[in-house]
Amino acid sequence: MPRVVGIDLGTTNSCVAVIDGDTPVVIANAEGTRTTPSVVGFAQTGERLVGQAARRQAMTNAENTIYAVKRLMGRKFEDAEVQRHVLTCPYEVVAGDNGDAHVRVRGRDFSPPEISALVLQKMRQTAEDWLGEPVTESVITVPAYFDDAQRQATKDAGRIAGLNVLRIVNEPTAAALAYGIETEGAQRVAVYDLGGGTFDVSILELADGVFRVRSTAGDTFLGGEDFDNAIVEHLLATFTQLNDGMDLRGDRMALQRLKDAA
Amino acid sequence: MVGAMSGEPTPNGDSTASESPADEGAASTNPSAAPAADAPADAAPATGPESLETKIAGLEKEKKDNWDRYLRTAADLENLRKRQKRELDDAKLESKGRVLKEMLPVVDNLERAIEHATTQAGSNPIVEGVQLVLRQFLTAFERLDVTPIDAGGQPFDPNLHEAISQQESDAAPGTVVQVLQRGYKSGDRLLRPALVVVAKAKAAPAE
Repeated sequence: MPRVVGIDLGTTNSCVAVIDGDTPVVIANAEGTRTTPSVVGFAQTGERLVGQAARRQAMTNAENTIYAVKRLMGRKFEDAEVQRHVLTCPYEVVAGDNGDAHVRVRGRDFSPPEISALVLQKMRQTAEDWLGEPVTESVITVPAYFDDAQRQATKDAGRIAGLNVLRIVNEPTAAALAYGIETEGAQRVAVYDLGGGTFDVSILELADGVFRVRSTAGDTFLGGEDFDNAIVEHLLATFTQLNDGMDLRGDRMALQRLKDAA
Repeated sequence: MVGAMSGEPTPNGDSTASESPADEGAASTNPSAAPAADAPADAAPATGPESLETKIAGLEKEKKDNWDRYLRTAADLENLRKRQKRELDDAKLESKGRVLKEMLPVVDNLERAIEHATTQAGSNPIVEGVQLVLRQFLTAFERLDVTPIDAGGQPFDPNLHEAISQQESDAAPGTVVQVLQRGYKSGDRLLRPALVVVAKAKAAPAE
């Protein structure tokens, strides 16, 4: 039977795992880290960079570096969520032929599934390198609030990446399963998911061994990165106070070191 | 897969094992050879030639199943060995990397201290001493196969460099014009990217 990989396709980072024997193992990528930034960069040379390398070049190539494309998945260009994203993102978001939100990079339009597929391909490669065999079967997680169109878009992304998506699993359900909650006879569980770019809370109900999402809510524009930024802001303000109004904001290097420390 | 069987998959001899396809052929085409010699003497009343043949077929099947299981187990073992070695190598690299990463800021600060001191005054024995310590540190890195990344003046490479900002410059767009923090590699692995400023074209803003 072919191996099935589980992929967490996140707004900020993605992660791939496989069942080894009877325990799940999170696989580290070629750079040795277990999460891969969900970032795709289109270099001037035509090269497509995915993950950490894409993030490192973002500063020099912001308009051709796509991040947080999950916020556009399966959405129409007019959607409030899309419009809100457009306000802050440096790359171009356009309406596709069918009204879906697409991104335009170096004169070419890409659908969000196409961009996500590049991230998924990297995750697939990571798993293949580790397993030493081709990977075609996958399970991908999505937020509980994803509607049918968004789920379908995620499936499409998998297909473009050469993955057969056996199942789309709700993120809170996957979390509950990972903690073995279904074995503890619990009936109702609250799952808090604080990600890099989003924060969700879901209430799950267990009935006949199956989790049902009773309700879900959250803030799709609040996550760990916002916390980091708030800490950096605080440190900057404190430093200014302690050093007679000296402002580090102009010092790129100091900013970077603060960010790393935060 | 083969069902659960009580018989051990006994890889007791490559000689018998590797003959198995030939054996099978021999047994089916020439059933009268060996069994015929024993059968009448020992088990004549209970076992006719027909039941002997079923027994042989059963044993043949069992042998084949065992052989399959042996092959699978051997392959599994080989894979496990390979993976264990790789995981061990990875673990070594990872723990080495973690220690080295913690050392890098120390080296950074030694460099900063020296830079600061040399801009201040002329020759100073303490500064020279610190310079020696830094050199010693870098020699130790070299022995550990840790190499600094030479980024200055090179074309920007996101695999080794992290762009912190862009700056208008006479240099060709896309070249590193300033290294804010040196990067290091441990063997082939990137330990820490170099933090760099990248040149951009002077006049018209691109695109």
